[in-house]
Amino acid sequence: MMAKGRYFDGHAARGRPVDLTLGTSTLAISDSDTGRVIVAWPFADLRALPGGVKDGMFTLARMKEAARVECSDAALLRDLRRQVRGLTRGPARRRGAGRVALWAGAAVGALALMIFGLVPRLAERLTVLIDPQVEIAMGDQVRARLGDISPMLLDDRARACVDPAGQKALDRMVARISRNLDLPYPLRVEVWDANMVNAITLPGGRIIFFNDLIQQSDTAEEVAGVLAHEIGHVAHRDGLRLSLRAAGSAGLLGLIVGDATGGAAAVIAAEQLLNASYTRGAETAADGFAFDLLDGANVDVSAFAGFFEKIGQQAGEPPAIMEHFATHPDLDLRAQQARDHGNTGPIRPVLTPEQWSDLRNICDSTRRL
Amino acid sequence: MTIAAARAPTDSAPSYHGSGAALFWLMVRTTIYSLLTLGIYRFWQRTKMRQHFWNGIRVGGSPLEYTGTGLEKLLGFLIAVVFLAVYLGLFQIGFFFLGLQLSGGSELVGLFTSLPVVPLIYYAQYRSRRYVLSRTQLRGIRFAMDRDALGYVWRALGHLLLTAMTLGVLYPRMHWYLERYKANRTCYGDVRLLQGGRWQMLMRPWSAVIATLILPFVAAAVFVALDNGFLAGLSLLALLAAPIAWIHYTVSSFRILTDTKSAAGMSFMSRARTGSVIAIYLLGYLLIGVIVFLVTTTLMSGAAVVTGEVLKMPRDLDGLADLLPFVTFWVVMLGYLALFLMWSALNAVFITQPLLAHYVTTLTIHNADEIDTVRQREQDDFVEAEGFADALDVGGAF
Repeated sequence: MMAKGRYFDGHAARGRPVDLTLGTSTLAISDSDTGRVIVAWPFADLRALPGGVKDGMFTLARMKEAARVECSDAALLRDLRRQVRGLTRGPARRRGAGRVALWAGAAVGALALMIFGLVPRLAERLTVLIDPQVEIAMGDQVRARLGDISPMLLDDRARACVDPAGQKALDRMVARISRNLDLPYPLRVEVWDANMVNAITLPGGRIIFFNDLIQQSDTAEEVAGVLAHEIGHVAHRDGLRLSLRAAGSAGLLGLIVGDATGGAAAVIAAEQLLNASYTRGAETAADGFAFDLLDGANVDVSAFAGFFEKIGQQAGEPPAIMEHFATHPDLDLRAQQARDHGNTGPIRPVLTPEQWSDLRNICDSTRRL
Repeated sequence: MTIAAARAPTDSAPSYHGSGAALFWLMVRTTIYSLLTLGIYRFWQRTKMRQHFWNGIRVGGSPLEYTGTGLEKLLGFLIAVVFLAVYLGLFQIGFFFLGLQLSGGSELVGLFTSLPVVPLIYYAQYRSRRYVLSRTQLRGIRFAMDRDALGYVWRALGHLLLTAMTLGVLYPRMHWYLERYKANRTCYGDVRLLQGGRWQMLMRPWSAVIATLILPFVAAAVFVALDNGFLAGLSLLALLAAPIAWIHYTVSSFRILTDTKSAAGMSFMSRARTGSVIAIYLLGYLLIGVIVFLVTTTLMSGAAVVTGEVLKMPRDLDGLADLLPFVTFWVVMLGYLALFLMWSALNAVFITQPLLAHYVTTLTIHNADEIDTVRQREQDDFVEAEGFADALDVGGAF
């Protein structure tokens, strides 16, 4: 059988009409005008390019060559399909999968090296180089921004607590805990009236207690424990260090995922996991710091354990899988560590009962954030 | 046929022949593979999409051919990840540190951190265009682009600075200069493309964007400064017309830039129309919406029937009642996957392909016989393919 087509020799863009004749093992391409055979393509090298067009036109190619034949003869294509194996495989040559495996290893290695090695280490080195004044300015801005958004995020109660007697008690506690400390900048501790059992540390030595934490504590020692833990973050400059690390590893995991095949969600989860693991490290270090600090200030360390156990009971035990996402270490473990540490010196109350009562009433008078 | 007639200038209009049904099933199949392989198949998916689109475009009766492979895209992507992981990690943390120190701890320092990505985006765009062109053939003759990505980057950065300083008013200047840079480095065989005209041509369509996008923001900022919230809100109302102005600019600038391009003796003319493009979007999304709605309703009622059956099961068969959460979970998961599948397939069929067909079929090539004189050129081999664009997610539509 014979079919009409157009032949391009791969050297020039000018085509010429050809007749295509299917042999037993080759496709003969001959000039329509002269009838002379131009070339015969063996079936082993013959490829048909992907179709997907309405009028059924197709292109034939020879492996590794630029020459092409355009044809619209459905009968020829049918016969070719029947006789030529691998007809619709691509005509381009293929690169080895070995190189892909090699580079895949390199890509995973480079990401791991950056995320777990270089970036955290650089963050640590650079943190020390930042002027404390710069960090204070940074913390002040974060504090102002938090003040702006808190009424929306928390509730209308979000105000700064400024009762003078309570403030005095708080200052006493801070002075007692931090008396032996040499910090890069002064501590600034305040209480916000918001219903969260939590306390946060901002860059530049700012610590914010939320009132519900104080209300839910049975003794001043429990609050002192939390305070010592937050001072640990200040001493390690964790806020700044984690910001630097986050800036460095931003988007690195996102490199792996291109399109939105649910991969974006996986990246967010993975980053959450990563952040949590970094933060957990910082929390454990702050705990250790707090135990030593409390001990040195002759404050009961085991009271801190009581605090962990209490919030553990309130929250209920999280499912095991969630532990990897949690930013704080397991509460029971932390309580155990506090008890194990204990006190080496005498224990003296951190506040008198009157002072403790003043501190609990610090939110009797409040101010806008 | 006389010699005079053979030499008379001939106009040729490219045509588009891609089949919607073929594209739909190609998208369904390749999207499923991509989901099953956690996204790795996407390199092959993009290869097959391009093969489909290229093969549908005919110039002088000959289809374009896409010769790229999925494996080279995967390899290029991995190479880019190695480079980018190191580059981004070091530069981002460095910029954050310097930004903090220099600004004295300003909270705007976060803006610094993303700066190292900007030059890479232009680098990636040039490289990916060069890759696509080097894998495009017509009549067995290869397209190509010169290796000048670095020149492109620093020019783009300069223009970007100027554009930012003029609040975007001078964007057409950047657009034209960068387009000329890319066009003048584009070849088909031994013939080079040439971008003519001047950037002021693009100011007319851009003025609509200035009026509906840039001016409202400037006005709103002024009114906010004057403490007049009402007028500020009012001026932002103009933003509603911005999408139309943007489409108008996209189409008009394509038309203008095409009309001022030439290659050897050939020149081009585009009759792409804003109205048609808007109609394609509106009609396409309407169709997609109706289809997605119908399919979702069918699926949901099917799910309701299944769930109802499970609920009706005798209570003493506790094991079966426990199945309910699992059934619900899988129904939701399958629903999500079905929606995702339909979306990517329908979007390609009802938006991407019609848009491509419109731009192709409204094109005219003057003096098209000149194409016969084009000679072959060397294959441009480079390993990273479009890896940078892929890793940074700045690739084009397909």
